[in-house]
Amino acid sequence: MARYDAIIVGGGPAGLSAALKLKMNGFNPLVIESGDRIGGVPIQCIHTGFGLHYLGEDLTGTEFIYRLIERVEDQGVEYKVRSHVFRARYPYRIVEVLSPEGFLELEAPAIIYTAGARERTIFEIGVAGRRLSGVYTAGEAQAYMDVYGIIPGSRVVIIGSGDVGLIMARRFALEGARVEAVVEAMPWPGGLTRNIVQCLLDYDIPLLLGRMVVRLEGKRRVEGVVTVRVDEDMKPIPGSEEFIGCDTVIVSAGLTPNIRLLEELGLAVDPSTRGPVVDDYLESVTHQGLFIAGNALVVNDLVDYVVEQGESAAESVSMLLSEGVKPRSYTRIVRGDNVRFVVPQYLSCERDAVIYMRVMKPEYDVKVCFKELSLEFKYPVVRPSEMLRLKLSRSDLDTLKGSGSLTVEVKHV
Amino acid sequence: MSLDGSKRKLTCIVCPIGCVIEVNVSEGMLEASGYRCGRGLDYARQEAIDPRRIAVTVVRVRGGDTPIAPVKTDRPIPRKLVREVAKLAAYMEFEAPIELGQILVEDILGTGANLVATRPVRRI
Amino acid sequence: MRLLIVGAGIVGASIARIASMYRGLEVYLLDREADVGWGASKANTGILHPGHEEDPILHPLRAKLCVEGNRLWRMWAGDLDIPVKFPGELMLTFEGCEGEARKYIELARVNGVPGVRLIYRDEAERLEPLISRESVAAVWAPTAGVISPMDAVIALVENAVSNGVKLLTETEVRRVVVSDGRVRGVETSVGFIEADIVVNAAGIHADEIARTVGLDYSLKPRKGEYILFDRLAYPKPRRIIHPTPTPISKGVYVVETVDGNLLIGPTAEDLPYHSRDDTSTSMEGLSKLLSEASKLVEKLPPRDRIVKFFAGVRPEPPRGDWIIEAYTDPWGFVDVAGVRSPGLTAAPAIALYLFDLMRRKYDLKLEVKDSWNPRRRGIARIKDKPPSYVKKLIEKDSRYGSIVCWCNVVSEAEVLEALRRMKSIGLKTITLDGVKFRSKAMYGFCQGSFCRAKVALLISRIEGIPLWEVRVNSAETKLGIGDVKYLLRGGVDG
Repeated sequence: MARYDAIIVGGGPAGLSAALKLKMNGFNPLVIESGDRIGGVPIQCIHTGFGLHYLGEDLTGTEFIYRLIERVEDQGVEYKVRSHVFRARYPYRIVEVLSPEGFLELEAPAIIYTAGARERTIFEIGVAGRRLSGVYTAGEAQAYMDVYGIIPGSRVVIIGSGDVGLIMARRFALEGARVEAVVEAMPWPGGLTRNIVQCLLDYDIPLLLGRMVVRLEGKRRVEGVVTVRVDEDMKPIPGSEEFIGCDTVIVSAGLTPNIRLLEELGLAVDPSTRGPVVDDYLESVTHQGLFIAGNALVVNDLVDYVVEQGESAAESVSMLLSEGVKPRSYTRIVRGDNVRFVVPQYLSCERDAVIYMRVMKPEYDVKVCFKELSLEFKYPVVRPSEMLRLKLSRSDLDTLKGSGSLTVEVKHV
Repeated sequence: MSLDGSKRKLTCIVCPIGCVIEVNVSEGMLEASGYRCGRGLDYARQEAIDPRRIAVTVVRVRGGDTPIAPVKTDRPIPRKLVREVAKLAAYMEFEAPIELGQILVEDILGTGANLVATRPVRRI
Repeated sequence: MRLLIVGAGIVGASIARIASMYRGLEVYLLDREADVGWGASKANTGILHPGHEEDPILHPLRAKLCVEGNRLWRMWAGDLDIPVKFPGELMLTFEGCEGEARKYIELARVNGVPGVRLIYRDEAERLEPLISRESVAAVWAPTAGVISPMDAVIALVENAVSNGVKLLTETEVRRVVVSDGRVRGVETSVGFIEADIVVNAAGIHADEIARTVGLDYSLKPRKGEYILFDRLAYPKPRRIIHPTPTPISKGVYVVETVDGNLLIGPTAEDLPYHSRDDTSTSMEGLSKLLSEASKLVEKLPPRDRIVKFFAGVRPEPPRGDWIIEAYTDPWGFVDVAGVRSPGLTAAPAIALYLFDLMRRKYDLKLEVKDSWNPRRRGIARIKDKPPSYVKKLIEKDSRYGSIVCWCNVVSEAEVLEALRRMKSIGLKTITLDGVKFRSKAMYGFCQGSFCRAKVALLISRIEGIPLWEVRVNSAETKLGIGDVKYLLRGGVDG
């Protein structure tokens, strides 16, 4: 059985950053990637907006990931492609891998799980109708257009106003398709304002807020969608049905962490993130030695945060490898008003902690309060589509001593 | 958008606040209101008078490990020319290999911006 | 002698298998779709019923052939390498319905269904802890089974074709041609095909075919919606659970499929005749299923664990019993229509019964071919197999180690094998749906968002067609309309 210092499951930006950090710290990681090449989802992201924080440059996803790939090659980071981790054995930290080389069993003191997120399907958002062709998830359509070079259709309706859907609205419009509408059930858009302006307004694409697609129409291929208006409780308002003709439906209903493997191991999952419950070392609180970073941990907006999480997990693993397992006690984070989720969910309070969180509703002139610490961070606006990143220093956290709870809430100033 | 006698609202994208800035261009002079900072005013000015964007699209490739290469203009170009760039790219085809950052078209549509490849394509 | 079967669903495919046994019989199996089993067989609960719910006086064929079919499937599934399990079934009764329950015990006795007993809730709970606490008793029928109808149809067709049957897909029968009181053949979408005997197993469209020879009956279309949960969605029952049947339907089933997914369904909604191809699902149907299922089990998995919901339309015969006749006027027209539940269970028995009927009515001298092969092996899979088996497969073909579908752990070799089999049975068009049913790629919780592109690329390569030309769910529907710049060039190639 081959041994490495760490096995990294998934060779996207989180996994590659983690591997580079471990290599830099003098360790020997192995990245295992299911796809034909390393790079992950950014390989198909031809738009800009990547690396603004991390590199101080506005790069395309492709340019950003190739910077990482170049460093991976230069540093001689070991990786396997076309290799799929389909099972893990705990507490041994063995992964079973299927690859053209054969069936492999690999063991390591730590596993960093960076397998990203998957897209929610049309069934998960409850759209009824026949099983028609012409329906694609946004990421799938992106791969068709910007990796495989084909265009799915000519008249498009996009379900969901998350960033991937907005980006695809622009792609379709620019390549000559007619984008009839982006349909969003919430009263506010799901993506960044920058994308609303540069993808929808620039192209005169209607954004229908407070409307939900309830059914697809068509014989074999989709011929249209039926939308209804919904109230604040997302209940359809009778009599508000409207038909929009199209030949292509793009489902941009959001992402969800791709943690099947971890669920099979019985890892604790946070329903508010649909990702694993971790501490400030990004280690699973139930499964010691399993670290999670990137979209597999929590769905991020910015690749910069994904990379930060990858590096953070790698630092935690480096510490584990040099200093061994140490017992920890935790302060539990409690979600207060207008907080949809907080990651990590537990704090050891023995180090600086980076907090990632999202609000449930947009609010203006607010302060994010850490009640028991009497700490406040002011924001002129907070939106669900924009993840907040805050740092609590070790000295800030000292008083909690890794016990009790810490309430995070959003209050009006 | 004509430069004279037009009034419109635009959403600033410089920071997450997203101020709605009302701009009015008359007699070649710009009036703006609703911005909270200098960056917002600069953005509004640029957007109202000469909105620019980085154009992003793809071009077809022969003999490569993928049939297309993604491209972008290496600096922002007038917004109304973005569709032109995509349309022009529809008639282009390049031979693999293509390097990341390779200039595929110089001074596209006379904008002074080059069309560069944003992903390498290996020759197969 | 040429025998032509209209409809490659579970009934038509079973008949084709039996037909392929005989010397001197040239057998054609036709279907209007691009692949087999795409009618009601595709949206079926997959239950192998014991037969204690069929009244032998009202529906003699249903009663007799269901019990026989349940027995026959145990052999057929083995011969044809179709996954099947027999967990047994609990028909739950609630307060005040014990009289109803005893009716089924009596039916079991009369129909010769083994092992059926009336048990009270505490014993039922030991058999299946998930049953509703509101239930009072249950009719326990240990011979109930679960099978995948699509796996079954595909296996039957592969076996039939390997024994000489010719499959013609994308061939829609418009009418049966009769002259001088005898069947001469069928008029189809691709022309006239000669035949001496035409077997009408056309599912929901069987009445249209029958009308062309002067038979006048209408099949009532009844829609059934289903919900399928993810394999890791808990809790799920080990035994098949359903309520006491009504005259309209057997009620909603809560069952774990052979693949391990919780399946709930079907609803029973009568459609107007002109809507008989309406296989659309609805939010009302979804809600109804969840509410009916909640009455049967203590707890259902959370709604966000639903992988998909789908619907099918089944043909309801006018008097409830199946229409199985071999006519001598016109000579050679054989009707197998309105085969509603328990059609899937009875299919092998229907095929044998039919040949018996034809032998007598048409005085056929049928001799079994020496070369007839009853066996068929399914596609070798790596999922859930021991490491030693997997290692051997990868050594034999490294493409077994190249995983295409991560949700269901399906390798490239399995997808390629599915393609090979589709071609070898003679499908005119390769579709993504066809590959999905055979390989189980695109069938998992991501429903293809990760892997459909990869499967399509394989099809594109093997078929030598551009990626956008890969067909999705019919001979016409394509994955795309052209290369990414197609529209900007004015919708012109090159």
